[in-house]
Amino acid sequence: MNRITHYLPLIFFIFLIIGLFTFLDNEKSDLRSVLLDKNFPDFSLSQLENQEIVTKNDLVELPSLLNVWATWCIACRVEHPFLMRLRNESTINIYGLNYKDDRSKAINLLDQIGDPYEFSIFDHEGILAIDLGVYGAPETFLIDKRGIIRVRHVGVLSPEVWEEKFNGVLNNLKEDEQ
Amino acid sequence: MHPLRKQRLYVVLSILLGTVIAALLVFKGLSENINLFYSPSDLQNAQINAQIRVGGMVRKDSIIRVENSLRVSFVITDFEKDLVVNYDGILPDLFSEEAGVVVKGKINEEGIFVANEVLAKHDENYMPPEVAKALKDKK
Amino acid sequence: MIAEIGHLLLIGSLVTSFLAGFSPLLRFLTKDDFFYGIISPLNNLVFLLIFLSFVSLIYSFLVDDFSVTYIANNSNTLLPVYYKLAATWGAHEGSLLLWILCLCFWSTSYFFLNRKKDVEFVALTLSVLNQIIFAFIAFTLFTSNPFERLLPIAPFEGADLNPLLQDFAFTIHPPLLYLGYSGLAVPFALSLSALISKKIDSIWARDARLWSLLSSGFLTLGIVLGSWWAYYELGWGGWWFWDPVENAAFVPWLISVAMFHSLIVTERRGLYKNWSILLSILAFAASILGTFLVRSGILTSVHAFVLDPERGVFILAIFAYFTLGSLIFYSIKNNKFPGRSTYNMISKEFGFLLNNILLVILAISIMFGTLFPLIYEAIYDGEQISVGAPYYEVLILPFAIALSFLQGVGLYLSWSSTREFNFLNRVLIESFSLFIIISLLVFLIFGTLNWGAFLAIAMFSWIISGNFIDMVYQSSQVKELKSVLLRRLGMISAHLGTAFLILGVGIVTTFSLEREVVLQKGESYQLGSTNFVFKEIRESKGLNYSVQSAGIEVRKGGLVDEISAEKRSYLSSNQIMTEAAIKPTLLQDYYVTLGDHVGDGKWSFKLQIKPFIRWIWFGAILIALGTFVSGFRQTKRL
Repeated sequence: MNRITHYLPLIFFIFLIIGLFTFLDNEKSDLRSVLLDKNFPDFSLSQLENQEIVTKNDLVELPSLLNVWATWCIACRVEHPFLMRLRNESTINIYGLNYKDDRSKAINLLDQIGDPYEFSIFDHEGILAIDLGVYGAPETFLIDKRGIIRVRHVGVLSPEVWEEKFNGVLNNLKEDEQ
Repeated sequence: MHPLRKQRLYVVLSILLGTVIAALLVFKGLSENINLFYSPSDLQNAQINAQIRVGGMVRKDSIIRVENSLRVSFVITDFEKDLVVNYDGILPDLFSEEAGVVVKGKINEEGIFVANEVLAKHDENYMPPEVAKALKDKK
Repeated sequence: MIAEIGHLLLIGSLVTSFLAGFSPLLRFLTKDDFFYGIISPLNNLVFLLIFLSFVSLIYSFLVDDFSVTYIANNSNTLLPVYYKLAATWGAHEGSLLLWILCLCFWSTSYFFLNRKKDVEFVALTLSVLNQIIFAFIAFTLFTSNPFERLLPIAPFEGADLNPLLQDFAFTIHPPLLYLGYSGLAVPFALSLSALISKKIDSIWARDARLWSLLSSGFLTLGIVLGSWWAYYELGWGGWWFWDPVENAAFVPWLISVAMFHSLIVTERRGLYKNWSILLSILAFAASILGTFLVRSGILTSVHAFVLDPERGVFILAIFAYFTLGSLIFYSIKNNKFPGRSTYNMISKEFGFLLNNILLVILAISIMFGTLFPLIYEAIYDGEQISVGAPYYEVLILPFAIALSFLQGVGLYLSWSSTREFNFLNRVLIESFSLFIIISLLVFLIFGTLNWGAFLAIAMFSWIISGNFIDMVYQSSQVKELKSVLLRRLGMISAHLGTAFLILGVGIVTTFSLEREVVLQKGESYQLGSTNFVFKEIRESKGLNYSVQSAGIEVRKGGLVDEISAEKRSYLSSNQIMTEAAIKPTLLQDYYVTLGDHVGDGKWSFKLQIKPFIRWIWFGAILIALGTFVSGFRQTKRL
């Protein structure tokens, strides 16, 4: 009798840990599974600079990146130089998604440090961001020629991440077109 | 009865008694105090006049205050359905248009949400997971 | 440069703590005592390295090194120096470093106080502590490094410390709380050493009790500060929200209290050895589980640090390793410590057992309520719920009543068995004197007999009279009273603190008044017997914010005082913070929050009167003091 009761706490905690782990796992896959290999969602928002309405149909330069950024996002500054490089070397087109930001501050920032984007979508309310499953900034998506999301990266886009996650897929896409 | 056994009996009885009382309290407490969470589109499933929570984004230009009182109304949305919320009281600091918010209260017969509590999180760039999830699930 | 040094020091401490933590394995394999002896110096080295690493982080904050991501995210050139220091532990990464520093402090203190003791035992204890340190350093280095650089372009300005955290109480709240949380690792380590080396006696019990008391004391202080801070900073007048993060501190606290009570029996009677060991494991497990809940993002909370399931997995792994590991040892090795003596139902042993049962069941129920939303979501496929405060309030009341009753009566119990006649006699004298006190107090203060007040005062009087009458019985002459008091100072202070705490909670819950009103300049509002007058609105500037403040005059009886309720706008982040106006007095707090400008000179206000609220924190501080006094007394006996 005594021996069994002594094993009870252990058994209880095993179950507790399995439960918590499963829960965490579900949270993680929720985070990741969104929209990969699905169509880029429809939207109708204004452009950052000139307030003209843009929709999904205006994303014409495909394949391209969609980069989620904001003036309040410090880490976005880290990847900014690399984004500029991608643009200057014409590696790939980049659309910006200005997320929950102040319009004039955002425009000023781009004037200050440089604008790597074809144009930025001004998503003040985060409507498109929600559709994309965006959790915060920075995040970067790779959209292929047919408007399908192929890669999603949460966090800073560094040269290493570009090589590992994006470049390979991009090359495969180019081959497929041949 | 052998003293050791008697002692064990008391111990076991005490533990049992304590656990049973706790279990009763837990069941009673939980059944009366679980607040279900809905997004504005889910509300057709909600009970009228039951205490619930609803989360969404405050629509731009929807905040209307009644002159010289604390009564205010605003619209929250999950971009599929809107919900009009009436509240009588001081709104929290981080409450603003185009921000995520959770309101606690009841839906009345006219479909208007009468809030007794308005909660806004401490980070303006943070959306409560429940709200984000509910908004995501809409698609 | 300094940040790199800090980073390197952290890596160094990772290696050193690993060596210290797993050295006993080498000893086991080689049978060479060198591997025991090396652990203490390694442990002390870890402390030094971590300390220096922490200093480098502080330094980087003070010189505004915004090339470090963590500093850029949490500081600002306009931030006052004091808050730059506190910003070090203002967010996840830095606070982890603080936690580790606290644990190192404990392990080194343990070393210093036990230098002349049994080498094997000390070595084992330190190695367990270092394994924990290692786990947390690994977690910090690999997922939450505060020294990461933001290159190549460093921002010239930081994002600023969250205005909510720019406050004195909040800056010392984490260090105190972490000292409490990490301190629970020491009894945990002591238990494991006892299980492994099969040494458990009254000296072990006294040691374990010492560290449990100290950790518990810090937890108490940390929780009190959190409550007090929430009260005046969040602007709603609430002081406890049953928020998952608050529960995450309350549960280990309850278990730690059960633990140091159980250890009294172990020390004096050699009983409950296995149970004390189990409690120390549960206390530490609760502490780590709390860390997990707060930092993994699975629970919504106003306190939530970080939304990151990846990090959550790491902490869960740490939790699993230490909890399951220790419980495996516990299950296999514990029946070597049978307790053989018997005791009556009316005895101190049984009284302590009841105390433990009540505390532990309460702790489990609170934890259950905290985790229930997760369970519900899992069962009902994604449906989100929250467990409201009433659940906890309904739950805790019977336990509080039972525990108060027990505390008052417990002192009359003797070890093994109590002369029933004496016991009944004292209880009746007590209940008699008690009843007089209650009725008088309730009637005098409130003029009516109200159930809430009655219950609160009953519990209060019961505990006070129990302690007092016991002191009287312990001393055969009046002049002995003082020495009895001094001898039992810790316990008396803590128990009295509990009485004041319960009284405060009961009264403030039953008799609080609140109203939200709109006032014109010069207008007044009468709440209860207090008059609140809105005098004027002023604009001014602080160091890093601009502010609108409303002068409110509070009038009650002969008291006339002006307090100001503010709305601050922080310059760097544009966040708006409400600073409540509070007038504290002995018997109640007057609490005013400024709302919005409702139109042409009219402002909204929330007016509150909170009777006896200070007694809650006063009581809790008494508890902490008593706990520390008892704890430090044990160190003298080492």
